[in-house]
Amino acid sequence: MKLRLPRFAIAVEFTREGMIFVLLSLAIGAAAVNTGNNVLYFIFSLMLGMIVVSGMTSRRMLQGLQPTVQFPDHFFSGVPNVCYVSVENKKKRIPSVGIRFIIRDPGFTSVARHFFYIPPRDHISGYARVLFAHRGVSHLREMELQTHVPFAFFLKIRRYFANKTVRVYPRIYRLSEEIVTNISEGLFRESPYRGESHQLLHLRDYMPMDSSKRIHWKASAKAEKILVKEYQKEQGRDLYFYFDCFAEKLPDDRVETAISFVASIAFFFKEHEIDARFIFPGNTFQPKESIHPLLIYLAEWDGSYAEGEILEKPSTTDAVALQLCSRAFPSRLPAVSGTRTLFIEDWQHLLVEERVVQI
Amino acid sequence: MKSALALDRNAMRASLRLGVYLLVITSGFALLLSQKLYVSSSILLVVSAVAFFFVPRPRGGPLWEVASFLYLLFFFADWFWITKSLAPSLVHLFIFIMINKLFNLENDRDYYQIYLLTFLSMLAASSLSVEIEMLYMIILFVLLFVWNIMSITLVKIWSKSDPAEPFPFSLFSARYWGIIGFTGVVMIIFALGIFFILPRAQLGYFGGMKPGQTQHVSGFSQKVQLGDIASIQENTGEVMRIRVTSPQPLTGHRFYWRGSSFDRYDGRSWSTASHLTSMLFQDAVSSFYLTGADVDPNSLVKQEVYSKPIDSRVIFGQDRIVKLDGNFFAVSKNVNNTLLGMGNPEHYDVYSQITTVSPGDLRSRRVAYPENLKRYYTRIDVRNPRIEALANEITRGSLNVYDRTMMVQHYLEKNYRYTTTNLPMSEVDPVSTFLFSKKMGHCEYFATSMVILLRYAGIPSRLVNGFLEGEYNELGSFYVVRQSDAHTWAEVYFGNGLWVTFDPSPRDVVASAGSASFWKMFTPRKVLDSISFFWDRYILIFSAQDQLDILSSVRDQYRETNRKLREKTRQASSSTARWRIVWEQHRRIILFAGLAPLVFYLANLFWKKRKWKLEVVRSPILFYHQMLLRLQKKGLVKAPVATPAEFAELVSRTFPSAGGDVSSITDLFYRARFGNYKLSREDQEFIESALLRLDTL
Repeated sequence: MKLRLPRFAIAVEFTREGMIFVLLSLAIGAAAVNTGNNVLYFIFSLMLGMIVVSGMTSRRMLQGLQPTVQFPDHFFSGVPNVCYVSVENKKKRIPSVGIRFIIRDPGFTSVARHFFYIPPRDHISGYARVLFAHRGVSHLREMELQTHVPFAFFLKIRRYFANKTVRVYPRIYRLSEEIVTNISEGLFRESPYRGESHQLLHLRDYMPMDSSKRIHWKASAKAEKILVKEYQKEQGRDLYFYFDCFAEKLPDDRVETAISFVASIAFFFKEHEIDARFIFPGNTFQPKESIHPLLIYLAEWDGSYAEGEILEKPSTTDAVALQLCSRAFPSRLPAVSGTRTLFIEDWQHLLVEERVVQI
Repeated sequence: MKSALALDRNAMRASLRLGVYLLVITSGFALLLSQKLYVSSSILLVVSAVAFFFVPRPRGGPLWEVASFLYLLFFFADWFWITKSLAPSLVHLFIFIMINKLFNLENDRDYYQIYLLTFLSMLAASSLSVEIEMLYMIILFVLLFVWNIMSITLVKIWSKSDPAEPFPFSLFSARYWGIIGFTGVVMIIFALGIFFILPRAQLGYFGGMKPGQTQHVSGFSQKVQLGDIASIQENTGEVMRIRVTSPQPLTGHRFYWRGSSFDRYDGRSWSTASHLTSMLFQDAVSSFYLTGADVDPNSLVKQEVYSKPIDSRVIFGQDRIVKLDGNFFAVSKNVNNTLLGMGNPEHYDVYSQITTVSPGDLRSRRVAYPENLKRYYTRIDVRNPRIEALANEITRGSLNVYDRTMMVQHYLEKNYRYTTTNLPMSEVDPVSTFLFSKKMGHCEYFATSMVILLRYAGIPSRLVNGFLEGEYNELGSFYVVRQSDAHTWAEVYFGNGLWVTFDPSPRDVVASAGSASFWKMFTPRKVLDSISFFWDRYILIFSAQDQLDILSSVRDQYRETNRKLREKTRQASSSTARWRIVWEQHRRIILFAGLAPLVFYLANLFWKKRKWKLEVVRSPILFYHQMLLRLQKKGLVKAPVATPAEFAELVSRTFPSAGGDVSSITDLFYRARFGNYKLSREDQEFIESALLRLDTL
């Protein structure tokens, strides 16, 4: 049975110097009692007085302070980010010196920021570095203000309750050409119809209201008349990407790598406006419209397989179906005809370069 | 900004370095003051000064490693052969390490190590000396220590904070030192409180430690030469401090701190003829009793004697000593009531019964001298007819012992001059030389002459060596007795064990208690003496018994107050009467407790109002707003669309008498608000008075 000690709003921790000081005080106190020497008693009293004054001063430093912290909306695991920390000093006359804002919540990543001087009736703000090592949902329940002032014998801590939730998205990797080629194999085909893809269909005469950006200047010069580019219609095949990498015991590094792989591909498709469906048990996502739902799901999902969930099947016969699996775990998803299987073990060595994305 | 910050960091480091040097020098001086480590502490001080002024950036190196190794060998040599003691050799080691660190001051750890070493050095120094100067060194060290620790903490924290933020104040600014001083004072106050509360395991005894140099005081041995007392009168060294507590007022009483008494004069020196001594009865709590007769303890005058180390075992106190409290192994008394203590504690309490006998009572006494008394106290070893004739001549015409004694005293006072120089140093008969030739001398000559003359007149008398009452310190309520207060006087026997003091010396009387003016109480010497007394009495020898005494005193005071109140309220017929009695007993406390918060509240209110007033006259927005509020009360409201100038014109038309003030205020508002004009003192005063005038519109 774990013994839980009450956590006080204001707590004290010894520093190395403080421990030495206290031990020295005790030694002198013992010597004073042993010899009855009043000078030693006096010195012992001075040392105790110093400890008392230290406690009173550090407590006063922490009184009247109110910290607030604001996190960005999006966090990616492994990507350094910042949060905005502000500390307000409500005291009328006394400044606060040597204040350290820190988050030591076990369910949250550690955050620390030092503020040297907070004037009375004022506030001070700054950015603090935040780094989440793993994806997931982190709940911030507690934050602390600490001070070593005045003598650095003790670390005085004042705890504040907080109620913030931060979703950390999976790590995003830069996809190598090899991966991209493999994934997009058979994905695109030529189309005779006009559209908005990047593939040139033909050139035609300029008509009023045409955008000047579409003018093909070289061809126009040759033809001695203004010619405008016409593009092909998007005529890619539908892509269905199934996630089938479920481990017996969680967390598992291979599952995490697979999730990051999926997220990286989703980002790639979104950037290249490739329509694809990412299918998980009970959930289907189309990152081209919005990648947020997929990222949120990947942040909150624990990686477990939910039995009996319906999986969306490809709607057309020429759709491309990819299934991401692991050789270490058995496949859980029902077989879909024409599905090409990708094993995470074949590709994870290529997932080296992390990228910073903006949403 | 970068270079400014770098300068800041360097400035911070330089400040910390200076602080460390000051701390080391203070501990060096403390070791020097201990009077035990002159050489090593002097080396520390000299090296510190050299290092600070001539070595701007100390650098370590292999040289110091070699020196450290060599010193380690020296340490053992010091311990086993040179000092032959661990304690001083350890202090020498601390000093070496401090010097080493001063030349290798690189990171924070080095600084903390020096702080620890200086602290240990101070600890050693304060254990070796308990003089009052050590208290001053401790206080100085505490302030410097607090400064150093706080500063290094702030610098460390500042280094970790926003790198673009400059250090907001100087470590040597008055404000920062004010904070340090305040912290030190609060620390000392807490320390004193803790000190007095801490339970004592022993009785505040030093454990055999030598408290300092022993003073030589002649005149209090078994045999004293004529002139011994004079030799110490030139010395102003302090001998003891005495605090007197009396159940009755002793206004006008002059204290004579009786020491040794002698009955036999051989023509050159005084001694005690009989070697008989008796040991005083001691009870279980270290009290010694001199008399078996029942004496009302509440009538005794208590003298708390705090003695400096002197080379005499004589116990001093006002005659007649009845009881003695002190940490003596034993106390003996000779036939002349000279008390000698075995053990020589620095503090003891003497209880005396002071009986003032009027001249009339003394005159009326019919004294019969027993033979054994006359044998000692009228004895003259070497008779001098001339002195005998003088004695007869002086005392002619009176049979009364008191009158004859007074005749001798007056004769000496009127016809001889007091001096401590050009003394009648005769090899043969110094008293004759004094009486007939030189006619000047110090107290020993006067007293000896008086005793001799009285003996020739057949009156038993003896010589007493002791101290005059000394200088009274009103701040600490104690007498400071110095060697220069050493004195000799005579005692005359009036029968029934009554010895009366007579002092024929026409010496200047020292200012007695209560005679100093208010400002003379705060002379530097008296203030320092009070601090020194406090240090000796309440720190050095503070014991468990003192704690019990304080608690008992508080408890007794509380009980007494309660008892008196209960007695009075018991007689009250109603609750109203009872409350009236409580009010009469404690009206001062009740008034203070009730009025103080009210006074504080009103003062705070007044201050806030005053502050607000100041803010109003300094801020253009505020004073203009105040003007509008006042005019609003008079029915003049400024329309939002109206400009201040238009409003001022409106006011001039409506209230011509106020037009001038309003225009002037509006003008000042424009200039201060939009023109960057800084209001002068005259402007502020004008605004204040104008607003007052608008109130009376």
